[in-house]
Amino acid sequence: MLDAALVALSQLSDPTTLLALIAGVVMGLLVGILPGLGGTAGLALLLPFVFGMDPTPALAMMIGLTAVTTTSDTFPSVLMGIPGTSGSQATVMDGFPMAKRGEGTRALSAAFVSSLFGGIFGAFVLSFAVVAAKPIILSIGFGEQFMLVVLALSMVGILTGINVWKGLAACALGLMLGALGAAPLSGVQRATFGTDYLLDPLPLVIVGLAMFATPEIIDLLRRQSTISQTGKLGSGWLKGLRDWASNWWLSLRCAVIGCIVGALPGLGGSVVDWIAYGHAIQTTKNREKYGTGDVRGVVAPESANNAKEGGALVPTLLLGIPGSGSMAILLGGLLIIGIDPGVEMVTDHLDLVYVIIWSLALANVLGAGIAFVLAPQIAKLTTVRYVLLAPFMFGIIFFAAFQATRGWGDLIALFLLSVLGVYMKRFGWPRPALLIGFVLAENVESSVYQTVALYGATFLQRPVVIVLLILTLLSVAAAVFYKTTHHDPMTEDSPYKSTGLGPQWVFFAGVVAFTLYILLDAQSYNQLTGLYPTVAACVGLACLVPLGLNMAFRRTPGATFFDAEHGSGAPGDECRSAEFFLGLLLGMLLLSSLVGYVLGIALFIFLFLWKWAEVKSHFAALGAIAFVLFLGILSDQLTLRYPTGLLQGYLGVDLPWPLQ
Amino acid sequence: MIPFTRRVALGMAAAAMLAPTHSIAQDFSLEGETVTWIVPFSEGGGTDRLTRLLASTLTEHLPGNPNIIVLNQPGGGSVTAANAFHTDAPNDGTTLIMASTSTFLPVLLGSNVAEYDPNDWVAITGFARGATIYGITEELGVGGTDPAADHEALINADIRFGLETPISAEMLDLVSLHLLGIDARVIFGLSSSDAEAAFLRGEMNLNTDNIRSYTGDWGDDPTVNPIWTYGVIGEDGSLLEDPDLPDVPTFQEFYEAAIGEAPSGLGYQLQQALMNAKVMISKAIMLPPGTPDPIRDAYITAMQAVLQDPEVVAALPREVGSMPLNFGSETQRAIAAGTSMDPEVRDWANAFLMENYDTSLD
Repeated sequence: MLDAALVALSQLSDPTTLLALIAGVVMGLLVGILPGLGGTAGLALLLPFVFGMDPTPALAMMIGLTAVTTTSDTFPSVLMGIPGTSGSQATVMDGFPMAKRGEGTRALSAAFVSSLFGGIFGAFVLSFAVVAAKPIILSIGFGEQFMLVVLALSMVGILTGINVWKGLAACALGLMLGALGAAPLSGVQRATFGTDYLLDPLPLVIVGLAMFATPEIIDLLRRQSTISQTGKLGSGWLKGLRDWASNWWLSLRCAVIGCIVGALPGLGGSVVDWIAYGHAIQTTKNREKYGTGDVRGVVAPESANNAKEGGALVPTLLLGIPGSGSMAILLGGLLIIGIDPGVEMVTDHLDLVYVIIWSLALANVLGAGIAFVLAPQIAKLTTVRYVLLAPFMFGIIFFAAFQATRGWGDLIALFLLSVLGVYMKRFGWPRPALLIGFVLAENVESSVYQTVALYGATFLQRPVVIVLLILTLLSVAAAVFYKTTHHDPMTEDSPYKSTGLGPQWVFFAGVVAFTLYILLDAQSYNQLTGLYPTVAACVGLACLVPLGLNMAFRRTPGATFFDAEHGSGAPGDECRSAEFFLGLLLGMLLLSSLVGYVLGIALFIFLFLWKWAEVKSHFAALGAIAFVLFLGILSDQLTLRYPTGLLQGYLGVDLPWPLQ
Repeated sequence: MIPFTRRVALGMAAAAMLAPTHSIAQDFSLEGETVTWIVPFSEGGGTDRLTRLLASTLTEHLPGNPNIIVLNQPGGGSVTAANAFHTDAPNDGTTLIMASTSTFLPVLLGSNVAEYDPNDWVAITGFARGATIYGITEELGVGGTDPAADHEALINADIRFGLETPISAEMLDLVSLHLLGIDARVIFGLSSSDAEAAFLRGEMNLNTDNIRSYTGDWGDDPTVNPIWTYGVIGEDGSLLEDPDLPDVPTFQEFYEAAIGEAPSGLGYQLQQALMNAKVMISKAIMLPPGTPDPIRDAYITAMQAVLQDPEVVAALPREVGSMPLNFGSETQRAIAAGTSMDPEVRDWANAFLMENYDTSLD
């Protein structure tokens, strides 16, 4: 074993291999920074190069890329409030408030050390797991997967915000959104609203952007001139390091969670950040600070999401069964270079396994190092006038959404879900709860059915199931007994006031209507297809009814009510409404439907900068041109075809690169 | 043994009209052009890997050596991209698609989401890929030497079989088990890798996969036994043994040994149509509807050269096994057989699905 480890290290010190690793790391950092692109898109980008490469450098490059996307994805999460990949959604919760407070550097610094630690820990665990983990992974059957999903769902309890019914209803809404499109058990298309787009389920990246990115961008546009309220950056490098050091125990626990969630079947990597975040809230003191810019809320998810990669490699290498989307592509890459993962790989090609482990560790060091060096420059964005950034942010999130299925449907889905996200934020519906419900929807549906079909109630006799059940009960107890005490005043002069409820009722009615639609639609299918949406919708109604009754009969301010447009903290009359900005986005989409996405977004950026941000027209044009070039380069590298409009479709105009 | 239907007849007629003339139009050249090769799946999957393997060599053999880009358009299990390909793709040789069983199956089963007819497309090359069904020897009591004894054991065994959905390529396995009178507890919602993981854990004891994956994962494992393969249809239309697992009985051989007569009837016709879709047209390189013959012939010639390239020859068995390739009209015929079903067969399929899985094709 030691021999193989040393042989692998000497292979890795070969200049070609080292260069390949560095190339992979740089590419990984880039795709991590761009929202919507993650390890999956990055590896897809590498595949053509992998053909004809020697196995060792090819491995180093692919692992280098996968290892660091969850390092650099922290930049947009912390600085912009836009999750860089689905693995850093939870980082937004506390990282972005820190940036708004002028502590962007401190948050980044703490995040990068956590990523580095998590990544190295993951590599360390992997080196032992490849020889010993097979029986553990094989002991996680359907019953255990089902309990893992239940345990993850119980995290919602701690993230429901101050009104439990709203929180649970938001989670149920997520479970229902996850029921749209092809049913996992029968392939039948549910509630497609007559569109081809919903042949597949809604893409997670779009739901994530709609819940976090759009509402934040619009909110910032309305309230603030720069992201950092102080307009300053703060020098928090050492502070961030010390933050990590004083929370090393939390960081270690979350790294362990990351490895476990990554390695075990059933959950998939995209909830790992939320599980770590929920774990941090459940097990630490002063929990009311979470969500307002507590550095522990950055350390926890960032430690977990880098450790996840080491964990996810275990089943991929050991069994040839990928644990996530990016691992599926990595598996493809391995097959291309002639490596067939499986138990034989560990016995016959142990040196290659160690190339992977060393690459993983080294890439994490390189990635965190580069991120540290770049951070002060990139963090300056938070001191730039936000109106100058916003149109580009919109351009980037629509580009990111478009990566999901590369069709018009992505842009429309992002817009519609963004409307939901904006109003959920306004009316105090917890968006993390919706997201967790959405991410787990398919797992809930399949694992419940599979467990019952195979085991009936006897699955409760399995030892791992019992352990998980106890953990779940502890998790629920933590949520119930240590409910956050709320410090905001609930007066008639706050968002919690009991009058002016019109908009809240309209939103509530919209959610009820959607729930009823899902319920009604579900009745037209057989049990295999219809049971899950029926149950999800009934759970939704069970939470909506008490909420509605509360809203109807309560006369004093309280947690039942919330409208961010009320109270002293609300944006004043001089601010444009959120609807105005949603209208602008709709305008951008309409423009794109005429002239295609590239020209549409270019015109949008130009007009926004020129008319709204009052930039001189030639600078505005320069901004738009720069963005078009950026899209053009990406379309070349990623072989993308941007959505076209009437101009290209009916008039058949062929525009030259990069305008097509 | 291809069921002779109207569509087969039309396909053959079309194929005859399109037969290579050996006077390839000299003026067809793709010099300076960019050829877009659509992969209706995401990166890294089997279809994508095969496409990328061929694309790098194809450019050398096409007239004018065009630049070839691989464009992944996942969605709806290839249906979304196929719909767009059918209506929008230019038929000047600059766009082609790598179709797969998932593209043909919705047409065979008459799904209303498939708004295309691959019989209108122009076939270049088809790749057959064998499939097998295998089980845990000890639990099922299958020895793999005597089909009649294996059949007896399977009828009495508590079979647990995981697959994705009842209406999918795995319907072939469901129908085959049914024809043999074998009952299995079927657990849905498992993608092929989920099903394999469950099989590995022993939660499932029967599994189905393509030959390449089977031999890679289980080929030399004595605790796992292949029960039958779906064979391959030879040039004369008869069913032959799978070249990668020649010692394993085909479904027909297994049936004959177990039941005492050759399989026949509507259920068997359905089984054969599904076998055609799953095995015989596992992958197919296609040009859009209305592509002129000279372009088609240039592509066929180029692809024949590509498939003799030593690098491709070495890598191909890893992706599709070692079944014979087919070209042009032969591929067109296989597609015709794998995308059409007589109304009575369809009725049988609906009754079968309704009775066992509370669902139907309509």
